[in-house]
Amino acid sequence: MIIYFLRHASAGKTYSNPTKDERRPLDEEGMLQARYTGRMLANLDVQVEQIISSPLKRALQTASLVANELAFEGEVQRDDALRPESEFAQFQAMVARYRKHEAIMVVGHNPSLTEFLTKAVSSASGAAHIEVKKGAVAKVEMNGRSGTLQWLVTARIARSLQASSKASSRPKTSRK
Amino acid sequence: MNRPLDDPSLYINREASWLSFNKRVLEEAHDERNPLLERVKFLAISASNLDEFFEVRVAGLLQRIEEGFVDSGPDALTAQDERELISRETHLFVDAQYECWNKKLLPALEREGIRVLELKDLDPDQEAFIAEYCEKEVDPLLTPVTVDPAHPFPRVLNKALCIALLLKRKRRASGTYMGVITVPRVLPRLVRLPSKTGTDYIFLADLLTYHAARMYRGYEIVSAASFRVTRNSNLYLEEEEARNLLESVRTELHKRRKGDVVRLEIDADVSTEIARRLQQTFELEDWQVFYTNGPVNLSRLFNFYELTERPELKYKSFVPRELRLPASSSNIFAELRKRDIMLHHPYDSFDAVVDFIESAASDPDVISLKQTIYRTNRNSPIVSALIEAAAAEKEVTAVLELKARFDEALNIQWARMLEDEGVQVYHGLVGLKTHCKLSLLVRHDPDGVTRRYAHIGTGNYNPTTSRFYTDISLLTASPQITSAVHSLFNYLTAYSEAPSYSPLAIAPIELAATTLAQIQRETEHARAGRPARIVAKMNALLDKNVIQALYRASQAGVEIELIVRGMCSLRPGVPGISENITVRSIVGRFLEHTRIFYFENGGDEEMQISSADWMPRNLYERVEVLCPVLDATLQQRLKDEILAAYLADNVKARFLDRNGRYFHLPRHRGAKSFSAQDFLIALAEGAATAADIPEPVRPPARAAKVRKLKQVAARRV
Repeated sequence: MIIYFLRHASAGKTYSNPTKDERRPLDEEGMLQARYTGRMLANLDVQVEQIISSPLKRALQTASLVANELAFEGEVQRDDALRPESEFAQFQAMVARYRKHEAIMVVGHNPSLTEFLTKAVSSASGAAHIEVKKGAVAKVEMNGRSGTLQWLVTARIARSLQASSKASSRPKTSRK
Repeated sequence: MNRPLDDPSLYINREASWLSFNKRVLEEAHDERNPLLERVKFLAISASNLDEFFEVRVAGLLQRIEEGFVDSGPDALTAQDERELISRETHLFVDAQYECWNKKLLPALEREGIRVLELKDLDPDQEAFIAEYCEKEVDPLLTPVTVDPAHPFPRVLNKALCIALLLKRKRRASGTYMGVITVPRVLPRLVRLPSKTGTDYIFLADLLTYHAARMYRGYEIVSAASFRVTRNSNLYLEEEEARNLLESVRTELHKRRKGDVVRLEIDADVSTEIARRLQQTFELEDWQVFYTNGPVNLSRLFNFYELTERPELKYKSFVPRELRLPASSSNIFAELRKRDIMLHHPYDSFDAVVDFIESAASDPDVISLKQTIYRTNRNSPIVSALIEAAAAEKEVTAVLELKARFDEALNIQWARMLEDEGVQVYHGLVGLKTHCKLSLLVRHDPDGVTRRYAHIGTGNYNPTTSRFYTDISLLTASPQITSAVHSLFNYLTAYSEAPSYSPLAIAPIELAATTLAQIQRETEHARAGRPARIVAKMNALLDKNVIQALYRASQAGVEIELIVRGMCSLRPGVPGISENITVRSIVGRFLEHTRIFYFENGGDEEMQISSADWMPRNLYERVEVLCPVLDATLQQRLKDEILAAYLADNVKARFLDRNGRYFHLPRHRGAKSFSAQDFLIALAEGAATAADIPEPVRPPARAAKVRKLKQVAARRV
């Protein structure tokens, strides 16, 4: 099973009111980050069977922009296990529910997302230091409960890679 | 008059014929004899048909033009001319659809107290309702995007509703921006409003334009319009090279989702600026842009039908006839050892077929089950029957067609699931779709003999569609047939060809040759003055070889009556070529899907059912089965009840003339109206008998000729 870990993109400043903060949307930079990350994944021919997002607006918006770029026709699932404050055990339980799928994408927040990623790819003793910036995506191949980090790409890399191919507004993949 | 039979003028263009089929569907939306919500549904069907036409046929044509293919069909129309034809006809058609919606259906719905409101029509309660609805249900799911030329246009999904907005920054004298909102499929396209007076709806698209102002803070919305794109949905598989069909279908499926845009539908009152930008973005020619005078996604009017609980505005529901076994037969197998069973769906319930397959799990005497699956539905009892049979440690083999159009994703899921459950899953022959509908059970019977039992169908193993598709099922224990079915399964799973599949005829091996030989045999009977007549019912008739054989048969005097629901390339009634051929199409409540063939054969009548149309793709590129109906009682039912009813239809039947137009026959004064589908419902409910079927209906030229022949015959006597 492959898990793509995606952190929500740029969404301005934190509100002190937690209810209001849950509804904080992506800012314009965040929209662009998510689209570029999504397009990069599409160019890599990434296929996921499920996209699961934290129920917070900035994560849902990131998920839906990336889903569109991936031409993902399904419904983005919401799961509390991806909220910023949730525990690794909750995350593991959620992943177990999706274990029949070959590839899924999870969209969440820091600190929990980085924690999940770190714990998923390191054996019990070693704690890895991985920085997951906003809009960044990591590919992890799971083998049972432990995974291997294949790559991690930040939104800035995704965007700069595509700057040169801007002229073509869409990939012409259907023609041979 | 001695034109060669491959003269292009003797063939109707395939796409033109398809477009006139869809016009017949739209006619049903106009027909006031149909219940109102059914008319709305017919409009929605015509729209979803057109979607598929663009996704597959138009996309394929544009691709051929781009790649420089010059191949044309038997009508010799070039690809460019075909594009012109499609462009002209589809625009006229779409105009007609919206005219039907705006001028006929909307006013009729309003007379019934069902209204579609616009924002300005809402009362304060309704306004409060939508404000809350947008806040709670809509807003969390939407991602408003602004587009500027410096970044790529966001991707929009195939056939998904989108809103385009022209924006201007407040407090800044800059240029205009475009905003795009793609609307997730989970949101209903039609929102029911609270109403004191009746049933009120509002289109989601209208709600979104209202709500947009709140999503684009800091911008002024100059104008807004809903739009929808249709993408190329053809699969391109290079099968010979693909080691694993499952893998390559999955990859292709994924690529299909990224297919090029072939059509843009957009609100007619869109600002030219938005229209221009979208057309440019999707790289479309002018004719590929359709300005719609109403909701951009008419196919979603299905929601109307579903959401409106007004049974009096829908077809009266009917109860399909259940298969009843005589007391002397303890189960269906005992009955099948005595006689064959034929079921005519949806008039006869599909449950008998489901039971037959489920017995593989539930009946301890059944040893094995082999099954083809082309299309079936979610939570299909057929799929669960396979899984349960495997769990009961029966030997279960499924031949699953992965490439059934638009169902690929589902079929891949099933393939994986079935394999997990211990079913042996095969994907058929490389390069050939498995389209035949077969099921084969092996059972230890109480008399100590091990026998095979087969189900052969004209339709898919899909209990949902079997409620509105007409199909024939044949259940039999005839050793010749079941042994041939067994050989065919070997062909599908091991590619081992048997020397003969008689009494079946199998495509792509000998089905085309058998069909041509049967028509030829009828031609010889006619030449020798023996009785010669063909009645053939199918969905589409396009194969040039078959059409030429039919022309020759007509020239020899064979009386040919074709009941072709959809596309037909044959031109009937051409003097010297096809004057003995009539073509009629029946479009009605149920989708006509049966393939039935009748040959008079000099008096020794033959009848068959088949999974194949007379189309090149069925005859040469798919695995199909033509199966004889041998039982005399069943033959009589096919001929005197089913075919006779279709030939007597004077309500839903439309005749094809030699110019490619379809027309209703004016009914004779005093003649009662007779609809085959209504009659068959009444028959199933016990309210009619075959004796109620009137004389067959014939178009004028043919009728005159038959009268003349009868006079001549009478004079001879």
